[in-house]
Amino acid sequence: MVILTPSVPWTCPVCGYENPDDAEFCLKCGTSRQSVRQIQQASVNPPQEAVGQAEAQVAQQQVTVQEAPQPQAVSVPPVPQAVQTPSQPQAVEVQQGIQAAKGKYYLQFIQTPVHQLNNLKVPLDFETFNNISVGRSPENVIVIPDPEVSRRHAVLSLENGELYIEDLNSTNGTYVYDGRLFQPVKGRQKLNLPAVVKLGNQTVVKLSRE
Amino acid sequence: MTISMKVFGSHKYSFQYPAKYVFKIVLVPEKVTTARGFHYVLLVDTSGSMEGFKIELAKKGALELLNRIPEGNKVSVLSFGERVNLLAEAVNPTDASQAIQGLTAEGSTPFYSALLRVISLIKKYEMPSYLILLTDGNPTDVTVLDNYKGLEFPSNVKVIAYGIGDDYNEVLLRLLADKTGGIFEHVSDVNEIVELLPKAAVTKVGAQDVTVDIKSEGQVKLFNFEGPPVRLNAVESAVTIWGELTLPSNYSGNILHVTVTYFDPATQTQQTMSQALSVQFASTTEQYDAGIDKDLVAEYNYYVLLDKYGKDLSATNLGEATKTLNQLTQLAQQTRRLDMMEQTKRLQNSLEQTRRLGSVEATKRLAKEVQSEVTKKLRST
Repeated sequence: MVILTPSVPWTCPVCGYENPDDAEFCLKCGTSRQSVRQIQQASVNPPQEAVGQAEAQVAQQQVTVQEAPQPQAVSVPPVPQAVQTPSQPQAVEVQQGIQAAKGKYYLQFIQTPVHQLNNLKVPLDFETFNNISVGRSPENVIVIPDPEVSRRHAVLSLENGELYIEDLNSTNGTYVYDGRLFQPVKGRQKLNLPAVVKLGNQTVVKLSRE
Repeated sequence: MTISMKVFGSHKYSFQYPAKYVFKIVLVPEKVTTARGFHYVLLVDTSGSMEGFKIELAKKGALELLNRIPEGNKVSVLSFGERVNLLAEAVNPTDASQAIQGLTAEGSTPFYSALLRVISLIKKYEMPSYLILLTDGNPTDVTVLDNYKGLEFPSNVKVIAYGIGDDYNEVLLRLLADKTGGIFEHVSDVNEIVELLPKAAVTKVGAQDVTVDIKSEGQVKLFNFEGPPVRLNAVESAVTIWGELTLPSNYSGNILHVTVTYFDPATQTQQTMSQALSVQFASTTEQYDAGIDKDLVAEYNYYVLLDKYGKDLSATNLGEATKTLNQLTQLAQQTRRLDMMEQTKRLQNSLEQTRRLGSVEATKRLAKEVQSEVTKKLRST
């Protein structure tokens, strides 16, 4: 799971309460946020490596941004927190190697309200999953911190070497640029790469194969 | 024993991680006796803006207040307008009425000088005191808030501040109330002062000169009172002290030790009582989770947010205030506490109205109402 949200809610490992980013202690049971970090350090979470390189790159980005010492309470804009760190970077590199031979898919942010993300290129790893979900809520593979992006906005999928995009009935819609205008995506649609896709009204991404 | 104490802590167990431990100390007067031995200091703004209707109503309210103060207490009356005047010094309540009747309004608002004068007067008599303060404007002598923060009030004084109308500084009055564990009351309609002012008279108390000392392994941070130790001039109705500390991981033993010493007016003796709370180490997450009083944590968080909401409004930050109020509403629903749900609903309505009006004046008025409500909610029953 890739978490890019500028204000990352965190789930309390004791009572399961979803806390806002600026809470250092769980609002429901008082448990310290340290518990989340401790648990992550301790456990290796298989689905994380599955998502693979996309996360590796983004997580790296997060780490670099995060180097400033801890005080995340007041930061403007709030520093993206690596809620999940890649557990086995070596495995990820191997996967990269395999896919690089076939040509790899990338999602690049062209415009989005969180400026740190602009120009960020996120590799799409279809090796392990055929579908990559995109949306605002942390349950997605790619999380986009834009209020106009729906919680579950769209799904990217690879089928027979073709990239498809499906709009998940999002509130503000998904659009594909046809060279002149952004045309709304209705249901599932094939993408001719490179493609420029707009999610909601503020986020534009480029999908390409390199 | 004329007062009783109950101490509530949020955690029964400690665990592998540190936690925020919330506590609530409730002092309840069990047996009350007529309040004697208090020094009431009435400080009335007699600047030009109070002239006419306002000063007459204030006088009427103050006279009624004097009627309610039982014999055996002392009253001082000061006014500040052109100068700071000491009109009556530590006299019997009935003897102070002449000083009040002679009040006239003119001049500026030398608020800071007046407070300095009051502080020295209270120190001179060394009695538990109530400072009843009435103003409708901003200070003209010292305007920097930090200077007021530095004022050293004696520990046995409680400020009851009345702000009249829209032109006074609610942040300042709130500050004075907070410093002394007091109350700030916003009076939007000047007619209300006649009814509100007499309520400041304390006729019955359970204890006088109360000190609440709180000791802990962790660093104690009190939320609604200065301290620790907390000094109260009297316990006239139930007092709730809220605070938090960091519960260390894997901690076992006493986490909180509260000692209350007070003067018992019924027996005229000094009394002491204490209570300790302990935590054990939990072996499983379930055990740890089951030992957490989540209602207590939610209630505490509610007050913290309520306080923040008042501050957001005083800073005329409507965006942030809206966000805070939404969190408050959510929290109130979680606690399923009817009074909290009612309160947030009311706050939502008034905020909605203010947003519709959209003016800075409307926001400031709302800030005064809310700040006043917050001090009352935090420190009275």
